[in-house]
Amino acid sequence: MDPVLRTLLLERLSESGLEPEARNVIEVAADAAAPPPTTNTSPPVWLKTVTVEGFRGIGKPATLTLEPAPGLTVVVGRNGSGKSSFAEGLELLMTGALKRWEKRPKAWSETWQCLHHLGPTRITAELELEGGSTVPLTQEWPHGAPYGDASGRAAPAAVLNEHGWDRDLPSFRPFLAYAELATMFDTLSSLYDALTPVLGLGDLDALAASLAQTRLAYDAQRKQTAAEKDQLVARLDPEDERAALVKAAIGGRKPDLEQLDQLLEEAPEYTEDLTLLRRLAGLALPTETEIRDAYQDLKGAEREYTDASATDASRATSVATLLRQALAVRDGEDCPVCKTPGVLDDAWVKAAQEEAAELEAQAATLTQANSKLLLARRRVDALLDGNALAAPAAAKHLGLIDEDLTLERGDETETKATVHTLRELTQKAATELERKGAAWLQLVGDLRRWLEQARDVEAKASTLKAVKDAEKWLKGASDELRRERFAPISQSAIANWRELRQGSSVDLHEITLKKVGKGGRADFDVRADDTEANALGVMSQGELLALSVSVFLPRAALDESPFRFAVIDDPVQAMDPAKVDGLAKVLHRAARTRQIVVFTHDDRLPEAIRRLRLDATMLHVDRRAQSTVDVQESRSPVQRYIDGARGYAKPDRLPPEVQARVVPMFCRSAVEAAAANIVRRRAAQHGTDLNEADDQIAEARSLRETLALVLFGDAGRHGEVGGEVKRRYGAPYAALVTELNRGAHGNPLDRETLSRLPDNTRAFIRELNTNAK
Amino acid sequence: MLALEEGRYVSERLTVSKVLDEAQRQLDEFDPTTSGAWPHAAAALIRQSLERTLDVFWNDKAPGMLETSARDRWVCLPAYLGDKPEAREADFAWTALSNACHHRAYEVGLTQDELRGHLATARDFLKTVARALA
Repeated sequence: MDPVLRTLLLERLSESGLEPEARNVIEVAADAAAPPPTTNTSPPVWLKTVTVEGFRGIGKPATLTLEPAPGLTVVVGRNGSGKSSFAEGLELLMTGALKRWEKRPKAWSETWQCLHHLGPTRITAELELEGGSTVPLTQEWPHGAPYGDASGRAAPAAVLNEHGWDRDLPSFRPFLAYAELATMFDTLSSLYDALTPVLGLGDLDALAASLAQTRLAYDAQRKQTAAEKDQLVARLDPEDERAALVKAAIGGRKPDLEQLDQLLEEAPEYTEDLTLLRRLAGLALPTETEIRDAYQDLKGAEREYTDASATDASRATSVATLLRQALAVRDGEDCPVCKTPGVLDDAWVKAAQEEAAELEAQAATLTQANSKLLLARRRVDALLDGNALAAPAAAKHLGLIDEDLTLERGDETETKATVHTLRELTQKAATELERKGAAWLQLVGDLRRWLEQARDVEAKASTLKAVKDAEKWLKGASDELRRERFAPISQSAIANWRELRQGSSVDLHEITLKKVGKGGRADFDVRADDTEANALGVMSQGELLALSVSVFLPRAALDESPFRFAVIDDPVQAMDPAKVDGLAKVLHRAARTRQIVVFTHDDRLPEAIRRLRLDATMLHVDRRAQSTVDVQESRSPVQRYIDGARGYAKPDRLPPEVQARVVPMFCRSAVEAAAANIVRRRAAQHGTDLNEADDQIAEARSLRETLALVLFGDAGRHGEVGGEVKRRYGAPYAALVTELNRGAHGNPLDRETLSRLPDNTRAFIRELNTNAK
Repeated sequence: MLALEEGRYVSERLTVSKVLDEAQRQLDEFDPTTSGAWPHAAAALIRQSLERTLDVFWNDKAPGMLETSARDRWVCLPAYLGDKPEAREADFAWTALSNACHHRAYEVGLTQDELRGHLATARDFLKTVARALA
């Protein structure tokens, strides 16, 4: 980015009320996104000669020689004299094209070579750089080639490229052709396009574009995230409780990312249905073998129990207890119950003991069979656990079965069938679980990715706002900067216009560059009789011409332009006489710092220049038979002063006392004009500030001050002028300077001195010119 | 016989500034009897004023100049009056008015605005000369 523009922009930024983040956006963009600075290194260049051969109205080679220094040169030639061939030849040579021929039918450019010339067309220009070195620019076209023939283009193009002038030509085109004068306002965007790079304003446009790009990228991401959210929400199963929670979290206008995060963090088992399904799918069911074993076991236990239960277990236990008690209480052989003596003998004791033991064993066997049977029964019962028993209800709840299911398990066969049914149910549940689980897993993954993206968008939301704020601010700042940067051109153009408009009721208030969409246009606030309406439409052709010149000259005077010359072809056409006077003044003002070359077809402009006593070089172009073109220099201002002095020095032309004042005045003016030329030429060659040189000339009040500028480059040393002139050019010239001063200030010179004054002055000027370069 | 201000040279029927006032009237007032002729009349009056002012100046400084051509009288003016912009403008206005006062087959006359400009120039020139002679 242009460093000056960058500084201006950042200064504005620091004074703006913009949020820090938005400010930062602009600072970063200004540093990064802008194109690298374009350093203008193309050297300033003046025009020294233009030689044209076999081009349009010029047959044999003709050369236009110009003073490569600030000043106004007017090239006068009647229509058809070949003067425009110089202007257009130069334009063609430098730009490779002619504005006047663009968009014209082919017939216009078919006969572009001179009819009286059979050789190749050759155009040469000598450009002078600061320091006095000359750069030649030449292009040749074979006879009969079209003007766009590029065979000879490489050579001049290389020279232009070498110095960087090719880059500057589109912005600072130093040519203003008559055709362009009229069409300058046809497309108001072309002026914007031409001026924007000149003012470095393209950088602002680039900056705005880079901000817009950032905003669009953010916006696109935001929109995509929103669209993806809609897609995710659409995928959520409304029956699923988790999905409902997710939907509650992100379904609204403002998604609750924290809640979603929490939902995703938690284990998937947090809904009853899924737990149920999981339990169902994981049901523990007995195998066929287990069922068979359990039932066999039960049968065995039942058989044993049946066998054992043939004895009366309780009676056997009671009898055994009775016998044990009888044995314990026996005292002698007599029965204590029935009193029968001697029955409880040793044999009885033995038999009773045996019987009690057998009865006790019988009772124990039954008890054992009983408990075994209980165990076996329990085992069969345990074939289906609680979960399995609850399965039918659960399955119905989950919608896996429609009808109530009764679990029959009266015998082995029934149990087996029931287990089979349950196993089918389990498999169904597993399938359903898998379906739900996989979909959910996928969804969770997508949700996690989306969450990340949404968090990014959320984080950038403030940045997006900052970018939007920055963009808005930049637009305003750019408009202001654009206006500011363009103001000098606008003001200068307005000043020119006021000079030129003379009797016109149309006033130019402001020219502004406006950005419109991707392009822009130049707006001319021109008002007729102070009405607010835009008056471009009511302007006459002559007024439009004047306006074009008004805008062209300030552009040519820009420091950024390496072209120190400007060529204007026939601006006088269609202008009122009063405007021609204005034009002369405007051109003369521009010529203080630029080499202005004006081609004109009639005498009105030279006449106005003479009348207004403006400094200018007049060249006359004449075309003779066979397209031979002659360029003759008309009297220069210096020459005109000398001639005037000579005329008034003749006896009896004026009263003697007036003569004694007027002749030195003319001579002095001649020296001053010559001195001014030297100072300007020198500034041009040394590349010093032309405005300063012009100011110095304007400020030099006396002849001695002007001469001090030539001799020392310092008007302040006017006291040393006499001595220096004597030292450099001899005592007679030192005396001449004194005479010029004396005479002009009312100290009459003697007749003899007065009569020799013009010739002496002429000789002195010649000395100054040869010596002071 | 020549007058700059009323009272100084009473023999003069109209003073220069009165002539200029008359020119002003021609520009300001719409008079149906002068329709079409007023620009020419105004131009002639302004030109006359410029010439009279110039002659008053030379009459005072170098009466011999009154024998020379009008062109010479303008050209030599800076040698006595100094190179003043008022003098340059007056010379310029005089040339333009002289052209307008002569019949030119194709040239269009001066516009009202141009005439007003020349009128102002003539008044400034009168002031400058009066000051130089004071």
